[in-house]
Amino acid sequence: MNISTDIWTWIAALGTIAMFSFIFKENPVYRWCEHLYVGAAAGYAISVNAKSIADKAWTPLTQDGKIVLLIPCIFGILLYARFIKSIAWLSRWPMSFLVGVGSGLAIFGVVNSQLLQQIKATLLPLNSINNIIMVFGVLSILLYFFFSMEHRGAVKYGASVGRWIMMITFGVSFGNVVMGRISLLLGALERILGDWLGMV
Amino acid sequence: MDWKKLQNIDRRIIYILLILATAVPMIRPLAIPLSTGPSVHKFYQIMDAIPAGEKVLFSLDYAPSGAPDVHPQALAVMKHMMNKGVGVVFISFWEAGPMFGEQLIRAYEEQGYEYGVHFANLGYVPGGESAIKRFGEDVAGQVSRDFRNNPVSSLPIMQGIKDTRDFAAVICFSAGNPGVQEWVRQVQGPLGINLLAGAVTVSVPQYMPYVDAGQVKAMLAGLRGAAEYETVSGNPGPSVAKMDAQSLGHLIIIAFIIVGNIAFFMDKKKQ
Amino acid sequence: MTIMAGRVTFLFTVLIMGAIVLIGVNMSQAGKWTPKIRRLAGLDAVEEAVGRATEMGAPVHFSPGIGNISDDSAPQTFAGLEVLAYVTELTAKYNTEIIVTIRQPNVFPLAQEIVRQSYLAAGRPDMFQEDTVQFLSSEQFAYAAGVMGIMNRRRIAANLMMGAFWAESLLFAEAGAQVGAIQVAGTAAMAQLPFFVAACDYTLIGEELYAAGAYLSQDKVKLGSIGSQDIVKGITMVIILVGSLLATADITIIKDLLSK
Repeated sequence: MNISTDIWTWIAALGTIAMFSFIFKENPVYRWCEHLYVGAAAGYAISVNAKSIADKAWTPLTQDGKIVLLIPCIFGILLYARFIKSIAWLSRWPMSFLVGVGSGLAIFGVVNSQLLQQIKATLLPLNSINNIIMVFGVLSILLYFFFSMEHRGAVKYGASVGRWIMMITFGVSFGNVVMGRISLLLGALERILGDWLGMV
Repeated sequence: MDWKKLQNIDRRIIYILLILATAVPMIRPLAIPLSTGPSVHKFYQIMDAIPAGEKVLFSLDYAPSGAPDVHPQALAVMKHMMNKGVGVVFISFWEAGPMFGEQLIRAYEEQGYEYGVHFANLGYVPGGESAIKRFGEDVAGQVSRDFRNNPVSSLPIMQGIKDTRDFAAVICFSAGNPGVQEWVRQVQGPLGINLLAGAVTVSVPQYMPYVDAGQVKAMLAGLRGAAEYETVSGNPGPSVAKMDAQSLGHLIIIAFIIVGNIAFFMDKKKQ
Repeated sequence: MTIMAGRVTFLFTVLIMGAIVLIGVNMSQAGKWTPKIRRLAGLDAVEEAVGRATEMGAPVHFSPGIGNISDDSAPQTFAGLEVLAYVTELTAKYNTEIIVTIRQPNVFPLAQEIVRQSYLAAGRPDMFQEDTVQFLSSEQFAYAAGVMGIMNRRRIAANLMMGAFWAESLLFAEAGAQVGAIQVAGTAAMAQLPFFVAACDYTLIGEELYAAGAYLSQDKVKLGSIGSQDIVKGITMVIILVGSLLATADITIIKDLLSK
């Protein structure tokens, strides 16, 4: 065993143990560490974002004379107008801009990459079990999500195949989640057993 | 038999057993053989085919909460790239990302590798999906200074980089959004870059259609993906060491699922 | 002017899809075509959950998710809020308390107004209290901790979660199960669906959430939109089926067309 002498390793390890203490019961140490974590994360986010504003807006604007950056800067400031009741309506402009740009980007990206490319990838020759499952799986799930007609007769059977396929997918997904959560546990244990206690 | 009680085992017992099952093999490894999948082999082959002197981009889109699952992948691929003499540039669309970039660099700087020549950390770019699009199309236009405040134009590794097509490969190490989906939607689709993914295990089923469609060339899945990459590249490291613990953890969970289901059905039958 | 190579199909797809939805919505608004949306089983479960809470004399908890109204999670948030209006009217009918918890500051005034209006519509404006809709925190896990605390302290009998959820989904479902609440969830967040499906009594999967919003509000624009989307899905199915059959015969005309 080779216990660490680094103060930061001690803080990280004790913080991890404090968070684990929630397993047994909610307690003041857990709560204190939780608040510390939220505060530290918020502090880090503020500093990184402040640096980003300085690098991407303030410096190019003041030192390189990129006047055009005034437009996004003003729009950004207007977002805060909502805190002053008399001019709160001004915050709708940048918000509308954000929603518009977001929708535009999403339409291009989703239709191109998530619809057309995926349809193309589904046009498989029906000459193997895998391909048949893939093609009819997609068709049955699409059938399940038809809302303007009742699930009756053949549609009912098709839709219920779709539902079964989705449930299997969710099971696979859940298995992956369990695996991922164990990886997180291993990361925490490595911090305690390895970095801190030097046992690994 | 009290089937009801078996369906409601105290969660503390489950946690303790799980912690024991994972901690013991970490201290005393069992050396369970690790198999490697085709996706990791493909990932390795793509990376291994990149000639020395080329550059790759790591998009570090994760935070401390997902890091134990994703960061080991970045470590394993970084080691491979450094050994091959391929330059690595980091960018992040998550606030915590640059911190992981610095962590990846540190060990190599101590070994004498030079910042700006072998690697560079371009820091964090806010704006999510729109920022990814803009960065993908115009790297230098989007980031003028790196995380260490050097002008990007002064970094030798960035010479000749205009857009993300100038990188031999772009690897998005992702724990959520923005991440792989946004890279596929906004950059891979329009520019046709060579995109690979290092995914948090939770997101793997969500990204599989992109791999099947060839939009993502290959994918590493969580810590297991990192361990497989270490094995395939002949550098067994910290991730491989954790695989025994992961396997035993899974066994414990499988056991509880079986016990819980038997108890559920027996209880139903009894009623 | 020429269209960039590789974007021709994209352009025509957007135009055709847009036209179908636009025509569908217009026809629905004009009363010429009103798609009838099938009853969703999950919505029956919502009524059952509120009924159960009434029997037990315990409150109903409702969360419209943690998504915002200005990003790609907005449609889920709005659909969640439409279900909220329906649930509030049900609670007014059954004289049962509802607690609505909010994470996004932008969503808070909307939720408050929806609950107030729904109580008014049900003829019970007196049931609206200032703390019926509670803003807890904009920090994801602080909000999650707050919700879990409320579920435990108030011993809720029904837990309804409709909207965009992320990593807190299982925490909520777990906390709801611990207090023995009947749980109905609905989300289009693919990664969170497995948790809801496993831990809740009923789950509205993906688009069902949007359809639920349209079904409950009977808004003609939304009904027209859902009906039009069904037409788009039908066209997609035909393309996939015909394309696969042609691909089996080594004819790649549709695949080539999609690459243009």
